[in-house]
Amino acid sequence: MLTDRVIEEGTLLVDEDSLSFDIRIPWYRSLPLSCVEGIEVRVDSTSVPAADTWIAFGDTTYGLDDLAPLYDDWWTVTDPARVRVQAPGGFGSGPFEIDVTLSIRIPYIVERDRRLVMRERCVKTLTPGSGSR
Amino acid sequence: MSGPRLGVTLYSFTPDFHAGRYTLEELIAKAAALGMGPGLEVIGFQSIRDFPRVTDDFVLRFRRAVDEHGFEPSCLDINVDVANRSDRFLTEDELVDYLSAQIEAAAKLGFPVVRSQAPATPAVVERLLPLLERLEVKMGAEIHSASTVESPWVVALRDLYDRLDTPYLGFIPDFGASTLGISPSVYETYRAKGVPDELLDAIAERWDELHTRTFEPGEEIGNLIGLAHQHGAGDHAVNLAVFAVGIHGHADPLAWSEIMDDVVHVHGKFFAIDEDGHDPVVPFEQLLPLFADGGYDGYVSSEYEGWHWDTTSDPFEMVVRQQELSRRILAEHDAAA
Repeated sequence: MLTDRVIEEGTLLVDEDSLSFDIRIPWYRSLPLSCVEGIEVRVDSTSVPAADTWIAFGDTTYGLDDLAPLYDDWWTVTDPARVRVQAPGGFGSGPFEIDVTLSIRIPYIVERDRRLVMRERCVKTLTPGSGSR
Repeated sequence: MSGPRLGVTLYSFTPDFHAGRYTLEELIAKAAALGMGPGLEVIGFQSIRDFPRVTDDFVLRFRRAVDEHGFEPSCLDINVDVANRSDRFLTEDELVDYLSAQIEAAAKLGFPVVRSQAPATPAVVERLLPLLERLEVKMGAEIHSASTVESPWVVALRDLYDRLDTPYLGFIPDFGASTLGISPSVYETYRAKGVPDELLDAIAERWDELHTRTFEPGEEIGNLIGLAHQHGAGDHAVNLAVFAVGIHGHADPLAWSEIMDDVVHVHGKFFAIDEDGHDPVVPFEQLLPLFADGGYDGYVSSEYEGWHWDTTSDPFEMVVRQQELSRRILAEHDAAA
């Protein structure tokens, strides 16, 4: 059920060249940022390149490649993270079908030296709100 | 007579905590108001921000909330995050440090027991023993489905415990490891999502077949994912496989007797209690008397986990029903003794 909560409704904002929304951790506990192995975003069925995808925990924004070494920084279970995706010409005014697949490694489950990575997919149609954040 | 005592783990209410409907203190108050307890179990990395760092102020607030509501701290769940780094597994030294910090937090918060997990090797466990003795905290390795008392990692710890002969090391049976079948609510949920009956029937048959033999869990989960995809389960395939094979275990309930003397805490895992107060898949009528007769007098934490798929049942109501069931079974068992 937590998978259905990955995209937080009512959090979508758009500007000239980007679109942003909150996501929640689809797990029962906090995890190190190093356990976020990937975030794949599609907007109206079009994939956003990883290089154009950013994630903010609190006041700090990271590119997806920045997360791997951060085993001492935490995504707290009750806190949203903010995903921002960019496109040169912007995305238009919406509403948008947002499709997120979040890959998270479960750090205490290892079977025969193989790490467990959960791929949690959540798809929601969101209408942009107003304001900035 | 003494015997198992009841408790609750706040993990049961994960959907409510995750959604921000209750803070930790509000959950403790709510559980008390519903008559749960007296044992209180908490997951460090769930309930406590910045865990395992706990401030003096937090320790004070937590202890006050526990006292005020008549709870007794039963077990703090710690996590053996051996794969928290992306580049390599933690070394033995790093893992000892990682777990020591969590054990120290447990002692500050007044927990007499911590829950450990399979990746803590016998070498790591043995190195933690002096700290556990000094802080007077027991550490139990959780035996969770699909592990059993015969799993190689469990056998390795049993050998260690035989050698060390200490009250500070033991096991935490999770009743989800010894179930009678897959919860009916799994089938109801996925039928409602449009998963065909023929796949659900095939999964039930596979579970029954696995019940008759030993198997390698990771391999069977993989096989079941393949089966689910063949039937067009799509995005549901992985969850269905994990729910079916990963958390509905096949162990003989009687097998817990083999480690009874080393049990330091129990997870009374369940997935639903029906309106008649009956659990369709966890044999509490068999399990609770077994532990009572085995001399176990620690806590059995009610651990509701049906919320993984069942989004309509109220977790609080489920735990209330399970505690009523447990009290009834233990009272009848006492009366008959």
